[in-house]
Amino acid sequence: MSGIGAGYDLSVTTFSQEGRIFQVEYASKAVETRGTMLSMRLDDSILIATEKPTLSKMAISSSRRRVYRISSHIMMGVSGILADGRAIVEWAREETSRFKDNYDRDIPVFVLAERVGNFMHAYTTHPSVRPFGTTICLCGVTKDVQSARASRAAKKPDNGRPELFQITPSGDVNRMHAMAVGKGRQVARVELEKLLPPHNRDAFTIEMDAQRRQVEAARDTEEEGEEEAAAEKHLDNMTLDIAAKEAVRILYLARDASETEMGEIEICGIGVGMIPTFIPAEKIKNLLEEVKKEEEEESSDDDEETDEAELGESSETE
Amino acid sequence: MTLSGGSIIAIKYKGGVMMTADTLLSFGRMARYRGFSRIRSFGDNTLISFTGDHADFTTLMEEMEKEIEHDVQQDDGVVLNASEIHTLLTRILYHHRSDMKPKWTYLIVAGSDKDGKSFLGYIDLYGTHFECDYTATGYAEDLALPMIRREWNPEITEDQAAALLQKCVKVCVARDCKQSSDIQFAKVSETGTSLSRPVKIDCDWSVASYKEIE
Repeated sequence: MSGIGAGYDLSVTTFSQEGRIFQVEYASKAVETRGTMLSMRLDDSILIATEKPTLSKMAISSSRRRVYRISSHIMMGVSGILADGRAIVEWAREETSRFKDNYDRDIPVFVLAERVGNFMHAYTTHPSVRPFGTTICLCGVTKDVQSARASRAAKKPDNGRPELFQITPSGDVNRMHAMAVGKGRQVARVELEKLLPPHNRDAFTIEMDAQRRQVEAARDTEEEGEEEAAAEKHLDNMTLDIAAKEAVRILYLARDASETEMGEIEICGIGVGMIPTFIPAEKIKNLLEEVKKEEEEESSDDDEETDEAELGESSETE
Repeated sequence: MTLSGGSIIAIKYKGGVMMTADTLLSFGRMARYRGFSRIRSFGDNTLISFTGDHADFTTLMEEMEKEIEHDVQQDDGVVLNASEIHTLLTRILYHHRSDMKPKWTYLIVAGSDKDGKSFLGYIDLYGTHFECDYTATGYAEDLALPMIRREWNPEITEDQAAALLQKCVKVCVARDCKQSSDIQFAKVSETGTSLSRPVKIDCDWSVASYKEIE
């Protein structure tokens, strides 16, 4: 037996000599080779966007959904193997209802994320099962002590705060600002990183956050007039509509260039006071057209510039 | 002994349904808790109110809320309307009474569809159920229904409906020892549900005979 696994890759119950569990790594591969999914956490909402490769000309376009409502305050995006993901969706729905039955309040998103993580991890520790071939994007609105404190500081009613989690086949749970998985993840991650806000608000405690905001506000008023305050577009100052267009653009940039046509795009948003809501296919189509036009214009602008540069060079040489 | 709610009166009018209930929870004949809203709104276009056991009603409503959340989870665009909620409640109540554990409530379900069609339904603890143009539970069944029968017609306007209910409630407050004078009015129409703040019904007690005895 040869190759990378070298005998250690058949079971999740055996580590390789380098301390790896190959079956779990292979499960991640199942995600890496399938359609791109990305998610962005905005100031008071979150969005999931996926590109679904066309299965067949005969398939009805709205089928094979990848984003699911878990409850009125949580939604889940499924990348990789859809059937594996749906099993998790079903389990998460039950867990959410169970929590509500027991405690008469909505499950906080981080609690559900950890439970889903535990659930997926269990499938990496038994010989009779295989890991889930899916990376889960779990997002929703959490009402807890933290959101209460933040809203009190901002003198606003507490409507909760948006949270986004990435849960991998190994059962890892990560709190994210934005995420991208699947085939086009590398391009998408580069684009998403450009949209990260200048300060990571999760890195601060609430009190520090409030101080920072004050300092920033003071600085902003000072700088006003001196500099053109063309506020840079980033995740914390985008509306859901703008973010949707941005998501379409990123999916377009991250598309598989070897395919003649892009797969269908599915976008679902959730927010403070907004249940998981799909953006109509028609609107996404229009957004894609807009994005295509803009990107083409940009690239033709680039071409012209290079043309001019070349001309300039040639005239110099003459 | 348990906490219980008193009468409800509900009538259809042109364009919607109007409902009224007091805001009292009684412990036997003692006025135990005041300021309790006995009318619940469900989704955009359904109102439910109860006469009878408060704990049983709470349990039923928890079951219905689960059902509504289940709809959200299914995410197929289907939302239960008033008539469907009514039917579901009839099944639940009939099931419990067949189990020899009835939920001791009389329910009135009111709703309005997007196309403006009104719904008004009655269910009791045995699972008896019917749709109607006007109905009442508790003592109001005897006190208010005859008055409504005399004055109601399908073309009645919202204002006329409010006036009629006001008149009925006044009689109930005067005659029914378990009726409080803090009354809530609720209505449901195409535009949605609305629930008023409790209003005081002004009763003239100067006619009461005990005054003369003094």
